[in-house]
Amino acid sequence: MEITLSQILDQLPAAAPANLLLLGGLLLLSIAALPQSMRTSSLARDLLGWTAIGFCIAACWAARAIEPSGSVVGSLFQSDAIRSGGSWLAALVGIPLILLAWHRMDGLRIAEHLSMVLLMLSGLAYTASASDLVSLFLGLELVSLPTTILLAMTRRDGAGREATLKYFTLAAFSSAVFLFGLSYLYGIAGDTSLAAIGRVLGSPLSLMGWMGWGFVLAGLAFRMTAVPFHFYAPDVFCGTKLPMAAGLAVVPKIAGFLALMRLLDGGTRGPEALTFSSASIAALSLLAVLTMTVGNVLAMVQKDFRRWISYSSVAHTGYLLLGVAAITSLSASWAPILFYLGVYAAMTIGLLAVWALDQGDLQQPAPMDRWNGLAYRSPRLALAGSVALLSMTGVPLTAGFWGKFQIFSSTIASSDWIVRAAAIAMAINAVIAASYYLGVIWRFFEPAQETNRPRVVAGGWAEGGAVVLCTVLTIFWFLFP
Amino acid sequence: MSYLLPWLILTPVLAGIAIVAIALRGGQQLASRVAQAMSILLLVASCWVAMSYAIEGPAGVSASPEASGVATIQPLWVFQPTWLSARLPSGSSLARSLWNFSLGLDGIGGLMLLLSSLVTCAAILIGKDQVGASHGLLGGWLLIASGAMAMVFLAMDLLTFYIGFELALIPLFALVAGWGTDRKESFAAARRFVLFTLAGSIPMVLGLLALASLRGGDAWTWDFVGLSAAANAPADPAVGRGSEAWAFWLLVWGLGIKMAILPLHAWLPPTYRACHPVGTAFLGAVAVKMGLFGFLRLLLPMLPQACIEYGPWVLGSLGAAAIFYGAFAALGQKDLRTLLAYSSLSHVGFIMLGLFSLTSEGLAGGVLQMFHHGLTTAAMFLLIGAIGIRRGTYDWQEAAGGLAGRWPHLAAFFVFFTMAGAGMPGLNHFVGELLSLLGMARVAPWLSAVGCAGVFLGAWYALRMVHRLFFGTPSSEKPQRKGADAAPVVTGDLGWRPILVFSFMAAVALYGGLVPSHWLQLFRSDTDRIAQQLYQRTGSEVSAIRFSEATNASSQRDGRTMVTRRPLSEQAGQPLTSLHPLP
Repeated sequence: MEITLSQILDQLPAAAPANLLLLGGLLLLSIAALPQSMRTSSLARDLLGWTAIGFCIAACWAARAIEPSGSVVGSLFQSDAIRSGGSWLAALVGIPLILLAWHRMDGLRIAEHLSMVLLMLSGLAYTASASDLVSLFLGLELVSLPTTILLAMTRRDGAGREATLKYFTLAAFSSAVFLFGLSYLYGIAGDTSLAAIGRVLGSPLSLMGWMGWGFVLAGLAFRMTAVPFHFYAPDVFCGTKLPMAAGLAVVPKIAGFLALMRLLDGGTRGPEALTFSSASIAALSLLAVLTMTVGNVLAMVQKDFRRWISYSSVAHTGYLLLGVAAITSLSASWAPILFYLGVYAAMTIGLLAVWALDQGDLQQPAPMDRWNGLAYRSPRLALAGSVALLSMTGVPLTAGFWGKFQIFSSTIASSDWIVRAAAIAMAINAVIAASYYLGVIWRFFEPAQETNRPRVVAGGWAEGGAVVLCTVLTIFWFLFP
Repeated sequence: MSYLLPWLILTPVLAGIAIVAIALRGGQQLASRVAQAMSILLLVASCWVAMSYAIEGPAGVSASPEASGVATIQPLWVFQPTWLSARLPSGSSLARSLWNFSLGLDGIGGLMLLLSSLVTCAAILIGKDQVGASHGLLGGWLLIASGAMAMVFLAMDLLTFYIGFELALIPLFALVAGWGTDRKESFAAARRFVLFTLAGSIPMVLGLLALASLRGGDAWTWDFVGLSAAANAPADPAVGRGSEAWAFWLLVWGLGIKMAILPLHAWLPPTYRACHPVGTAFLGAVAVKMGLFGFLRLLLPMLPQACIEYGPWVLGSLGAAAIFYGAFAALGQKDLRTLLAYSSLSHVGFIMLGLFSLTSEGLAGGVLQMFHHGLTTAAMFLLIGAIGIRRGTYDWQEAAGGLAGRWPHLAAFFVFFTMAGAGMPGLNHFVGELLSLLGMARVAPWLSAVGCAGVFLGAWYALRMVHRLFFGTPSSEKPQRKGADAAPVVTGDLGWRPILVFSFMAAVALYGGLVPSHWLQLFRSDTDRIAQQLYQRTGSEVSAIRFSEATNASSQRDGRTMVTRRPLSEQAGQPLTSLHPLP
């Protein structure tokens, strides 16, 4: 298939939110080339930040405003529900990420930092709009390359270098594995369009098909931090700064799930909706159960907040994977997954922002008992942290309840007994998770240990804004799911 | 009246939050006064609601009982705002089923609402003497908890029920953790309580979803009226027994932990021990009823087939085992609080026996007992609190004896409520226990026999404790004050305020024991609809039984009660005539 430039230009509106974010990223990157004196003042910092947020808001608007119109044959991008929801989510997640970085980055690199964040988000939006293997891969790479740069840029000590190197090698490796799998699938389908790939995945898989699907899943599992490719996450979390940890917890996961949905979607939509073989549903469910169990059990024993939150994010990957399995078996709408991703982002970033305001950055070891006594130090922060933690537990009055609820309802609707058994496993896991999430809330009320408390670097209003935004979203999405 | 329903939830919750805020900002006095006023207001409001239901209710919800597909849950007043609805994902298609927030009041819910506000009011008014300065804060949390309870009791759809069920955890956690005698112990107990409950309620979500998806294919039903109507339709062959059983057991797990059904009761004694008696009064009297209420609301009307298969044998046996186990364990307790905890476990067993006999009398007795057990338990815990602040210990054997001479009013109330709890005829427990045992006797007489043995054991431990504590020669030595240092020390008898409140509660107990028909008529049409649906399911065995509604006219003619014509029920039905003649 030959794609001309004019064809690509015709398809640009389908990926309008992604293009907007890309444009913003490039603009900020060109500002970074200006002389230092022009971009290091606090006024410049505010201007840059507001510009970045402006682009995010514009992309949010564009994602909602451009009506889904379906895909064109031979196109790179398509405009459907995943595109709208995914790129809206990407742009929305950007706002608290930018707010977190606002005061924490030194003036010299703020422009680069924000531009890389926007590029990363545009990668997410491209992944959400992809309708071809090529554009899908491009989108994924546009997520992981700026992530590596950001890791290298934010922290330059030994731990930072270790994290960067680890992430870079593994990202490159997983991309290679992903591509390798895609080549098998392409070989079977004879076409790079995602509709054709989806049909291959939807029909009973041959041995070659299983190999391809297995490699693709492994490549994506790295991004989603699914077991057994989760092990890098805690180390990388420990080796970076807080704004970047928030980004790492959220952005690659969204990217992985968007790509997974895109790959499976071709089979569930399309002219002839296929019933996925129960073997591939079972494979996804087993991966899900394994991921959530490992994540929860390991999170329970963590003593360091950074490792704790990374294992908790592994557990959430497991819940999401189960949702993907159930929805695939039903050929239903992907809305529950997108909703859960949004909720996950809000509560995780919210909790990290609470930490940032209370404790400063994550550079030093961050033992869990630093949370002790938060309710006495700052009742408001304790309230926001409790909202985030209750949402992670899945208690009503927080959006996390609807997130888990929708996944549960998809599993109940699915008649596959493996999915239902996995739902029981998820319920048990949610109870385990409740024990350590509520454990943190209980820490808020325990007397604080004032020994070697680090000096808190004032975060400023932007971090407060991130806390407020995430908390409000977590409650708002409960009331209006 | 329908528009009053949301306010029954919102008023206590909002007032409670405001009171907590005032108390935290130092306005303890003000908070305490506002809490007392609010609790009285709430009691008056729910009395008014229950009375207007009693006047309008049973006539308003009559239904032709023979027709299948009639909803067994029929609220008289419904509040169902269309603006509070959502489309939830369901089924295999892209279609989403409509969920609408709905509240409604039927007889059972009304009775429980009355219980909740009565106990809240009593706990707040009496708590004033027992907790000291932090009374306002306690009152605020109690009001929030009673609002969450009202949400459970008024819920008319699965989600509202669940949200209320979970919401109650937050105030209950505060109540257990905040006022214990030993701060560390009560905090640990509160954590255990919350985790146990979550371990039940998270799998329960699956059960609720399975229930919503059970009938009607892709169109999921959330509201109770629709669900109970669908369950009352002739058995749908498409609904496998398996899927009904799967929903049933998930719900039994979740509700069973909340109400501390026998093998899942491990959280209960340590929680009651660690919590301040004023908090326990609410927890034991009302919060535990949420689980039983869930059985009555969800399982019996909506999963009749599974209830028939497993109800009497599994859950009824568990109830009988709980009666026996609770009574035996209570015999060995030294601490008044754990003694009452096990005794409460034992009394809840009677309710289980009644509900899962699946008979009309059993259900009526179970519901009646739910109210009266709550009333008595609350009174007992408040009295224990009164003893605790006077003696400084909850150990009833240590340096005890002759207290009746020192505190005659306290002793009088204590003996009265102990007698009520032991099931003395003429007092409130007797009616409910008798009806429950009668109901079970028709299905499984030996389970009833076990229950009767439990009554004997119950009288034994209760009377032994009363005797040791209040009568005999006063002990010369003083008991050691243990851990009760935070509580104000009182030496005199009950003041006028507790006397007033306890007298009111005693009057209600007496009223319940002497004129049970007034109480039964509140909810009898509801329980009869459920029982009749269950009878219809069991086929031949059932056809011989006539129901109050089926035979309303004829039974009024010959003045007989609802259950007649079966040889066994002939004997069982006889005493009923004297207890509750039809209006």
